[in-house]
Parts: sequence; structure tokens; C-alpha cells
Amino acid sequence: MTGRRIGAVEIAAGLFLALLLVLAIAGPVLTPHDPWDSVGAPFEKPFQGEHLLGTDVLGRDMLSEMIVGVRASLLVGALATAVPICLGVLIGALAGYLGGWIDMLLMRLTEFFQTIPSFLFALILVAVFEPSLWSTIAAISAVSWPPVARLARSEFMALRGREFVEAARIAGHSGVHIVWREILPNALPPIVVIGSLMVANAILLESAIGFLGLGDPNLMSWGYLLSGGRTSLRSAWWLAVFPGVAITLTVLAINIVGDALNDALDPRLRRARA
Amino acid sequence: MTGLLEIRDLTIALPAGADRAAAVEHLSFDVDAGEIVCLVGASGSGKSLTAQAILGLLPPALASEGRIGFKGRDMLRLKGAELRQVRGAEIGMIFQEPMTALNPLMRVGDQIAETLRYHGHDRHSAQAEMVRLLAATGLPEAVAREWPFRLSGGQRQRVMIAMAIALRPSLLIADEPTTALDVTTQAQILRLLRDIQRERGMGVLFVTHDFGVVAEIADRVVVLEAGKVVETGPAQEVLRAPAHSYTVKLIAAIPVGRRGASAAASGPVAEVSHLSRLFRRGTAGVHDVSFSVGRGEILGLVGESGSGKTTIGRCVVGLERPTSGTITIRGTGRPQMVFQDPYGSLNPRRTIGATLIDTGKAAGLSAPDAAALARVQLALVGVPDVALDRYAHEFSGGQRQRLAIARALMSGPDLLVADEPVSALDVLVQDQVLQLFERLRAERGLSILFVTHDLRVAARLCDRIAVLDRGRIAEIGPTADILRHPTHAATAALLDALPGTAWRPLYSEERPSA
Repeated sequence: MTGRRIGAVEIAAGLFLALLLVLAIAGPVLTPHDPWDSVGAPFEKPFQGEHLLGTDVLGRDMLSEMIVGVRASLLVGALATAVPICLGVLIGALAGYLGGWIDMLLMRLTEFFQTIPSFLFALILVAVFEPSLWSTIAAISAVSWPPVARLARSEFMALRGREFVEAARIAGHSGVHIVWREILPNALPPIVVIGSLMVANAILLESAIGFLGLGDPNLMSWGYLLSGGRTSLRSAWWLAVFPGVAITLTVLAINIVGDALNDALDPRLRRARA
Repeated sequence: MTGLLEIRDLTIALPAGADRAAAVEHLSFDVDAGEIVCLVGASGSGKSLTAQAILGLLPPALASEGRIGFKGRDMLRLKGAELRQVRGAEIGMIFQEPMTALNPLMRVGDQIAETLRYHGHDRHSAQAEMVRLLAATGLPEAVAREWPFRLSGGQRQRVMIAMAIALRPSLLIADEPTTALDVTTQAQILRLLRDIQRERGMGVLFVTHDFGVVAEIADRVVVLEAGKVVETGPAQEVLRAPAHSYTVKLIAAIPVGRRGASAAASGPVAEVSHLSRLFRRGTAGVHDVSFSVGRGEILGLVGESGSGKTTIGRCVVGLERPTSGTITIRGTGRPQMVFQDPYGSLNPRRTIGATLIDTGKAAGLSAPDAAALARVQLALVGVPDVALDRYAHEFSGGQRQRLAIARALMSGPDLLVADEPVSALDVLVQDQVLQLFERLRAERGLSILFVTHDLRVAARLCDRIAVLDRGRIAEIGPTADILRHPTHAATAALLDALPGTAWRPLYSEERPSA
């Protein structure tokens, strides 16, 4: 078997994510205009006038809005993925490794969360909290962990019976050592894959919450722009297309980088390449 | 005379980066009608790929050259419909693992009939022929309505044979068809293949790594070493007087029984008393088993699969909790285990060094002590120090088994439980690992509870053996006594099924004794 190489695609994806990171940190300083200010006529077309990406329904500069939106979207994408991954892996690992009644209890809890329609549940949570970026992240996290828990559980159950894990048990290793050092590194690959897909879901959920007016109204995000642009899709396509493309590219880049990272962490592929 | 199958100058290239340029190189041999040709070699010698090439089953990435002549056609160049007509109808094939070769969601009878119907039988004649085939392979008619998972390994392999011979092919390719089976089942399947082959006058190409099997079944032998034919000839000649040094080496590595127990074992390191382990489902389990392992003693647990030998080993190391009975460990350290599969027993994501050192630390050593001990153990098992920074996949099967032994030794146990530790290894590597066990016992006074299904290995290594039969000890005593004068039917059955004993007895210069 030969390992995948770090090619042009992986480098481009990495550079794109690096650019987004810079924009997320320094975005508000770099924008040509204040994203909340009307700086031109409404619905100016992109690539024609002084506003590169055109203007929106209120005549705000689309480019500035996009740049400022990076921070919120990236923050939601990162945190609302990291939190449920950690929670899901923890619950799945306990259930899968310990088995028995603990497994029963944790899995019934997981199913309880899965049976509630996740979007409605997220909306209820946001409505109960103060509308802010943090409550949005908390709500998305609360509804996204169950699939991770189920995946982690099945991985842990399969790996628990493997011979190297049994050897570690006989050697007298603690449960924490076995879960953390022996099983987890081998269980990670599918979790990394599901994680890179969850980033997209988080960004879109945030936009849906924003669309219903339950998000932070003072926060510019790609989701906010996308939902604002949807209403005028036929007359001003760019209002929805630019944030949509931005989300797609980000998710794609995260997927590519996630895959490459996964390969780089796998000693079998690493040596095959060398 | 022209062969049924004529392989000429077959070369199968391996992708760049493999350990050699070609899987097989300039391979030439024949299989005539009515003869069984055994293709023998170690794993990685290219024998299975050769078998696959005959039926056009090579992975597309592997380029092949040469000619595989079969009834005037070149199998390497056949495509599509022509190839499908030959497959099954004129050349049948059976595989090593009958469970994965059968469709799990289709009744056995329907699977056999499907082959017949695809090649032109109507529903009724297919049904009738299917019943005849079951009878010919020694299966009751009721098996037709069963699902594959309800059958035993031997029955599944019989079903596979029924499917392979359904269309009366003139050539049968068998790729290690008995390797996954018990010895007694293996003996039955070998006899069945031999009978069917005689009755139908088929040519058979039989791929195996086991010279015992060769001795049972082969008319002619082709020996492969790293993709090249090193020796070919009538089975009798090759087995009695091998001409090539590699064949000599392979045959010499077959374990031979050792007579006379070694130095009397002093005080037991482990005592198992009235051990029972019952499982809720199925009959497998252990019932009221008692034995002890002396210091520096190698005690063998032998028996068919399902006889409970592995369960006993797992109870001794604590992976399985006994239903009743006691296990008393007297030596230092917990008993450690060496597993069968050298590929699964080392963590693929951790370096060997991390695994060894952590094992030492778990046994209470400081980090520097554990690191120093890891080097000592590596030297002991004969793997160079550089292994510490490497991962399991960078080692061969034999080296991995050595590393697994090194890990087991890290906590300084008096007793090792070895569960079929050489069953997955080629005979040459097996010989080296057995030597390692012998050395550890001699130099370290290590006691070993050695679980195996292979009587030859047990005869060579073990001081005493316990023969298990359906979860109970049938007989226990000095190995040579038990294997040379079995008193229990289970022992006799195992001995009887051992392949190749007419050619190479378990104990050399076997003579009848009073």
C-alpha cells in the first residue's frame, strides 16, 4: 500500500484555512467598510462597481460583510464541533469499554436525545437562553453529540476485544491507560471523518437559527448572510451564492486537511510514504 | 504428453515499492488430468496469486506475462463471456475460508443450484443435481435448507466443494482449503477431495504450506521459493529425497517429537483446581479441570477447536472469570499471554518502545528501569534495538511474535500462557519461535502453558500434555507417553487425523514397543 502524498490540493486547502484564520482574527480591521453601514445603492451587482462583491438589500458592502462573518462562522464551526466530539467520545468510550448496565444507561440517554428532532430542540434551547453566539454554540453542541457517541461506542466495543487491548489488560494497565493510550488512537480515524462533516452542519445550523431571528442579531455570520440573501435569490443571486460558496469551500478544505491529518497520524501510511 | 493445464513462463509483476519486483517469475509447470499437484511454499511465495491468475482473478493492478494454457486457450488473455464460461464450468475453485466464500443470506441448496442454473440447467434438473452433489460430498439432504452460518466449518467446505464440482470441471483449484479447519475435519476433507478426484478423473491444483498435507494428497509437488520454482517432481521422490536445499530446509523444520522429559519440574507455579467455565449459549466451555504447571515446565493443552483449551488459558491470565474452581498462582508476577495472531496483538498506533516501556511501568518499574529492561528483553528475543522507535507493521510475522513475547516478559512473570503462538507462522519461522520458547525455558526457568491444536508442535515442545475433549481433560501426562500410547479415544482421533504420519511419524524411528 502506498500512502497518499501531500499534493497541491492539500496545500491549497491548508492555505485557504490559514487565510480564514487570519481573517477571523484581523477581519474587522481589514474590511474596506463597516459591514453595518450603507455605503452604496441596494443590490449593486458584483464585479462591476467599486464594491467587489456588490451590495445587499440595505446597500451594505458584501465583501466587508463576508470578511467580518468569518469569525462567527469559524468559531461556531470549530467549537460546536469540538464540544460534541469530546462529549460524544467520552460517553461512547465509557459505554463501549465498560459495557453492561453503564452501556445500557448511556445508550438509552443517547437515544432519548436522538428521538427529539434536533433542530427543534436546538431552537428551544436557544430560546430559553439569552440569544448570543455562546448559547447558539451550546445549543448546537447539545444536539450533535449523539451520533458521535454511537460511533465511538461501536469502535470501542470492537477494539475492546482486540488482542493488543487484552494484552494491556493482562499487563495490569489501568482502565484510563487502556482507553486513552491503547484504544483511542485506533478509534480516531472515523471520528475525524464525522468531525469534519459536523463543521458544515454546525455552520448551517447557526445560519438557520440566525434566519429565524433566534441568534444574536448583532452578529454578522455567513449563515446570517445566507439566510438574508435567500429571500432575494432570484433578483440578487450573489447575496446567497457568496456565503454559500464560502461555506462549501471551508467545509471542503476542512475535509481535505482532516483526511491528510488522519493519514499523517497513521504510522502505517507515514512509513509507507517515507 | 500435453498437460491439462500448462503454465509457461508466468511472471506476475508487483507494484513498485513491494519487497520484490515480481510475485512469481518465469513460473512453469503442468497439471495433468487425473493428478493432484501440490503447489507448496511459505506465505508470500506467490502460490495463491498463481492460483488466482489461472482463473483471471488477479487484481487489475498486477501485470502478468507468459502463458497459462488450458485446453488450447490462454487463460491470461480470455475476457468477459469466454472467461465466465471457463470459470465454474471447466475450472472449479475452493477457497481457504468457506464462511466468507458463501453468501450468508442465501440457503445452501439455492447457492449450489444457482451455479447449475447459470450454466444451463432448468429448475428441476438443477434441484435434482444439487441433491446428488450433497450426497457426493457426504452431506445430508436437509443441509440444502440451511443457512451457511448454521453449518460447521467442515460442512461449509463440503458445500464449497459441491459448488466447485457441480459442473463437472476437468480442473479443480484448491487454495489452502483445509488450513482453517480442525485436524480431524481436515483429514475428512482431504479424503473427500481425493475420492472425488479419483472418481471423476479431475486434475487438481492444491495450494498449501503444509508438507503433512502434501504427503497425504499429492501426486506431484511444485515447491516455490520467493516466486520461483526451486523443485518439482513426483511427491514420493520430493518427500523422501528432496534435491533442493530450500525443500530440505522446509522439511527439516517440521517439528519432531522429543522423547524423555527434561529436568523434573520443581514446585508448581500455577495450580488449577476444579476449574469450570460455562457459557450461556452453545456447548463450548470447561468442566471441572484440574492440573498444575511446574517451575520450568512446558505443559501443552491440545484438542479440537471448541474443546476448551483457549478458555482455560484465558482463565489462567484472568481474561475470563471461572464459573467455579480456583486458580492459584505461586510465582512472581501475573501470568502473561502470547496470542495467536502476531498482527493483532501489538497496538498499530504505538511504537514498540512505548508498548514495552509502559508494560514495565505498569508492573511497577521506573521509566529508566523499564527502558533498560526493554533493551534486555529485545536482545533476549533476538530483535535489534532499533525496534523501539518502530511500529508493529514494520516487522514480519515472526518478528512480531518475538516482540509480543518480549512484551509478555516485561513484567517478569514466572508463567507464560501461549495461545497457538506459532499457528499463524510459516514452518521455518515457527521453528525459530519454538527454539526461542525452548531457550527461555532453559535459560530463565520460565514455565509455559502452551495451547495448540498441532500435535507435532506439542510433541516437540511440551514436557507434559493434557488432551481436552469437550471441555474435560481426557488424559494428562508426559507428552511422549500420551502420544505414543494413547488411552483415550479423543487422543487416538487426533493422532489418526494428523496429516503425513505415514511419511513422517510424530516421533522419529517409531517402533512398536511393548
